[in-house]
Amino acid sequence: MPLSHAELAKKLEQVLKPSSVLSGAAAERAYDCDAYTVDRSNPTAVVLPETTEEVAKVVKWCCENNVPFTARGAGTGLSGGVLPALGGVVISTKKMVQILEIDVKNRCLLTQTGIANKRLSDAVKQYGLHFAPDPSSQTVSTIGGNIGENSGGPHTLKYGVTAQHVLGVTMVDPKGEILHLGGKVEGAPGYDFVGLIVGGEGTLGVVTEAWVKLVPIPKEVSTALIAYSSVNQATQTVADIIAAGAIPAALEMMDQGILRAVKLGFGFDYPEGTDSMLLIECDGEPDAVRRDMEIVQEICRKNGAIDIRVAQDEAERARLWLVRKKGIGAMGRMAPSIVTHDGVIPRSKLPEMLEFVYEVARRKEIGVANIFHAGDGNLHPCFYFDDRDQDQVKRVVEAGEEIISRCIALGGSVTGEHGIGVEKIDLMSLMFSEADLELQAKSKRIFNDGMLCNPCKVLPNQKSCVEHRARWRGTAW
Amino acid sequence: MVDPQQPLTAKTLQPETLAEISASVADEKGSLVFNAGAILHPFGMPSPFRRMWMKAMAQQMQAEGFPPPPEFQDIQLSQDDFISLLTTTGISLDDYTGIIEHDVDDQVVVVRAGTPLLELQYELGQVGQCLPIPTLEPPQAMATAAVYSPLIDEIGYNLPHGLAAQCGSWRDWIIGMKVVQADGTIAKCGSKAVKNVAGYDVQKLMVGARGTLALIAEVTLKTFPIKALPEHQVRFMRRPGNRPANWIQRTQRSDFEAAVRSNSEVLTAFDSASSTLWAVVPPSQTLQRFPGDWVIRSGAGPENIVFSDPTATELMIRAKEVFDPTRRMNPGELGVV
Repeated sequence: MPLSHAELAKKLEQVLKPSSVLSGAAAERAYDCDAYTVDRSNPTAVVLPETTEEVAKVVKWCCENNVPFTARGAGTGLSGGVLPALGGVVISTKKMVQILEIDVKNRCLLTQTGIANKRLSDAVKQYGLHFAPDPSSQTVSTIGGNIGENSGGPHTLKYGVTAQHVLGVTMVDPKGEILHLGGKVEGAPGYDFVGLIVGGEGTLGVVTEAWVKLVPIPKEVSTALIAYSSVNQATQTVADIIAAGAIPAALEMMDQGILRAVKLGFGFDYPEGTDSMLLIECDGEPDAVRRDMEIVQEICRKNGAIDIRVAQDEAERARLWLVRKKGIGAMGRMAPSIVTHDGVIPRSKLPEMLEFVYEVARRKEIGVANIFHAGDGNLHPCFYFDDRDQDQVKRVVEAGEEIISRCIALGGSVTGEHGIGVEKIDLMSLMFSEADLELQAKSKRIFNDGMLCNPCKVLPNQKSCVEHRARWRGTAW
Repeated sequence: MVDPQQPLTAKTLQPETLAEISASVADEKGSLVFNAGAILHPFGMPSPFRRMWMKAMAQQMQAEGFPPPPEFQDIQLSQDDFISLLTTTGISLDDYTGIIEHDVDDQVVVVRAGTPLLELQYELGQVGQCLPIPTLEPPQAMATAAVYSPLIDEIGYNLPHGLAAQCGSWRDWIIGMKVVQADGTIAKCGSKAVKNVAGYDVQKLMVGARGTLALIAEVTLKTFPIKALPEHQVRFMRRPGNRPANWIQRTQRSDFEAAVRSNSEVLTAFDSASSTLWAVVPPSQTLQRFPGDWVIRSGAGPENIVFSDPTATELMIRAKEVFDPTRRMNPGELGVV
């Protein structure tokens, strides 16, 4: 006889202290999805451990009682990666926010994984260092979430994604054992398990602590916001900059839909006739930055830029970044719901792909705006809609699948930084053959050969998951 | 009974297509050793297979009138070794070379894994691109004589290079891969997109795995604009005899100065940016070790790689069981697996 939610919570209160266990309707509602709100599933209970050992206790208890468990950071994920797909226990890292050691000399730090990304950079700014991966959600999203999703961000183009910045992890494996993998010195011989765990979407275990790399804050940063009267001019600029061998720290693009939203929401102004904007940032040694920015501006002018604003000081730089950083938030004024997609294409296909996005949106009669990491070819079409209207939801889902399918056809990927989660699980078989998926399944089996640790994610057709899917969708309404 | 005096014939297949590689792996019984380059890689492990191959190669060279190198001579093989040899097949990718696709604008290249790195660098250089592995002089000081190796070895052995701190390493550049698994099945991972988190990063497991999990057949790589290459910080030490480095050590940044100072007499090169040093160290000796550091050796027998972390070792064995349950792919090449 399965335990009721209340009974299960009571049992967990014997594993952790009662104040570390949440249950009841409010908790279930609060933890039934992440920022991908289309699918939802209630947890049975939520636990808030404070240490690795407490996480291990919970996982062992779940294993003994055959209860699924899903680790969760801030819940900012955009693919349903922390959806408690089969119910069970959500292990929130909300109380695991300590920086355990800062090693300035070796440019690394050890942190618990519930801490928000930006707090790492804040903590080491005094030493002239920072943590380079900077997802747009960095003030909220946790290092654990970033590790799970192998998050990117605007500065990925130059600094790489999270995987390049994680040296080692402490992880509670799916059986409740505590593993320490990797360390301060990178490149050690042997299999790269840390490289596999980063991006494992929490299906290989619960990462509780991480050694991460710190890099020097660049001596000079130059930021420019460039306006174009056509999207094609902007995308051609991106292709030309990459082809020229320049490597800006960031190369971001916003289309008119985003610009309108940011103007509406934050009073951001832009030149008349602007159809799209590029935000380009170069950083490094002062001479190199000046040279790179000159090359960039020349390419921008050659492609018909109608306005180039280069930040003269830090305050102006922050203003220029506003259009990029507040873009998604500003979309909230356009409709009750937004879904941000995350496809990747080879950079040279950007003009063709954007045209396709607009065409799909017109055909499906859904609003769309685009804000994305152009330098990586990482698109983020944002559909805005009313999630109380099931027909709109259906059209949004269909539009997303069309766009992602086109990304694959162009040689790209179904996701660049948001992960597969539950959202894109059916799309995996468009990108990978059965043999390819079995190869991935093998790598998962090294750590997780069961169905308790964050089930129903990443790999399609997992047993017990298919019949649950219908229940996830539409629970919101 | 096998006659130890009989000429050793190392059975080697040289498939020319991906389908032929797959068929070679599927059809051959017993153990598989990939690529002549892999077998002779100076930092390889002294597995029975490797020793057998070296002896066979020495016999072949002698029969053809070439003196074998010293390390190929006087290799003693047991009766068990001979029996094992009869069930071992070499698969060389020497005939599976060349660029499959190079999208210059996107800076992405798809290349067959038998392609020598130097050849790939030449082709990329024609359009101003490269992989950021500098060929520094003298190459043997950094054990990078291996730049003449095919990609299957370069990726499999994943040795440090002169721009590792500034530009990363194979795990950072490989965005896709096709592998042939232990049962001959071909599978791919990753894509041609420079940024991709679709599924598990299996290709990262293959980097540095020395072919013990699967045979790397093709790789998709991010390329780098030559004009954007940063300066390396490698310093070379002049040594008489010009012997190749056989000791590679990486330490924490905080220990590196002490490591260089205490070993200055045997160093051939060092890179402050990645805290890596290269040295010539007699097999019976070791240099000073530091907390958290790691070492890869050549010519030191089982000491070439030592895994002291029981957790990682247990996981490596588990990974081997999952990917290669009959332990036929480059057995012993990573010590514990």
